[in-house]
Amino acid sequence: MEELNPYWLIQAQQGDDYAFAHIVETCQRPVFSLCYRMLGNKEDAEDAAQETFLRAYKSIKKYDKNRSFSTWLLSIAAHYCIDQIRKRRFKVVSIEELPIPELPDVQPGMDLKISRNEERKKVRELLEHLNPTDRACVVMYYWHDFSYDEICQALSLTPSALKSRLHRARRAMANIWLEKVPNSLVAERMAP
Amino acid sequence: MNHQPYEDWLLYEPHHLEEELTAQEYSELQVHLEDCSSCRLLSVALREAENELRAAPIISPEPGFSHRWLKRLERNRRQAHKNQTLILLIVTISAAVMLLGLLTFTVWPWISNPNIFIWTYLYRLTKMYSYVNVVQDIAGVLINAAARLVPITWWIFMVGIICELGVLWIVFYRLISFPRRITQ
Repeated sequence: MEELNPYWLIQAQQGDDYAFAHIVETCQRPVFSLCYRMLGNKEDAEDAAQETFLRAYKSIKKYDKNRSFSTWLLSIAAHYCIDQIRKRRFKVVSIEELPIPELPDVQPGMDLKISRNEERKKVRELLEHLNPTDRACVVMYYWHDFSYDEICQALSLTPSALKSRLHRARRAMANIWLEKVPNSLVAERMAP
Repeated sequence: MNHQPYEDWLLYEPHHLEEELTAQEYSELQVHLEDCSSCRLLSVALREAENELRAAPIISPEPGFSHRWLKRLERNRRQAHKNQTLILLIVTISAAVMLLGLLTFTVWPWISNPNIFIWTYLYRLTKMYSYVNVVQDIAGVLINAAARLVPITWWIFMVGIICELGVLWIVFYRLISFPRRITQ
């Protein structure tokens, strides 16, 4: 995520709504993307991203300028999503029950959409079995190119805890990939 | 065969194995992967899963996200204002109910027995009336004594000063309280 011009941050900290709206405009994509990867559907991601900015707006005066703004903002988003996933578990609603839009007929130009849909489904399958904090680590590491230090800071983890979480998540994702992929394809990929 | 160190190496930093491992460890891992199908399977699965993740794009929200956020902020503020008003109302009503209860509790003996209440207050009224009479008598004596002691010219001078101060007060009051007309 591109770093914001400090001018907007200072203005927002002084209570300028226009400056904060500019921050929302600039940072909406990474925040929404993180929420989408964490929660698995666009409706919840939109809600979580909006709530993230609302929380950031309320506590912008507490933001420490020595920290990276993107780390701070994505940390709020990740913590909110982790809470939502935990609440969802209490409601006994599986991520598998969430709707994946079906494409009715193959029309010209639909091939790309189908492949994207497939891609999203595969990624969702890889992430859905991870526990919420492991999922946040994976999302920050693979999509937002956060360093280990930044992830530790954002999720309040120690470096060893982060390494062990990523270790566990990678093993789980490898197992899921093996379950989903046909044996013939596995054999083909394993060939030297 | 002991897979543990090799699995750990693979899962620790799969994309930067060459940088993270020493040359000896790396070649050891390569030899192990050629012999061990389980670790080779893990390596392939991990590589494919990571490729899958890295290939997936950053998703954008629907257009108008910041506009929707501003609307939500406004809604949130209105809700907070409503909540504050509600809390204030609840606190005021509770305080009023408590005061009423306290008052009823205090006054209850009199309400339950009005004769005593009426006689007590009649007694107090007559007592107050007699106090006022006494104060009037004392004030009359003091004014008579003062009239004899202070000469008439002083009385006239003092009344004049009081009247002048009164007029000054009215003039200043009008100057302060009425807005000035701005003429161009």
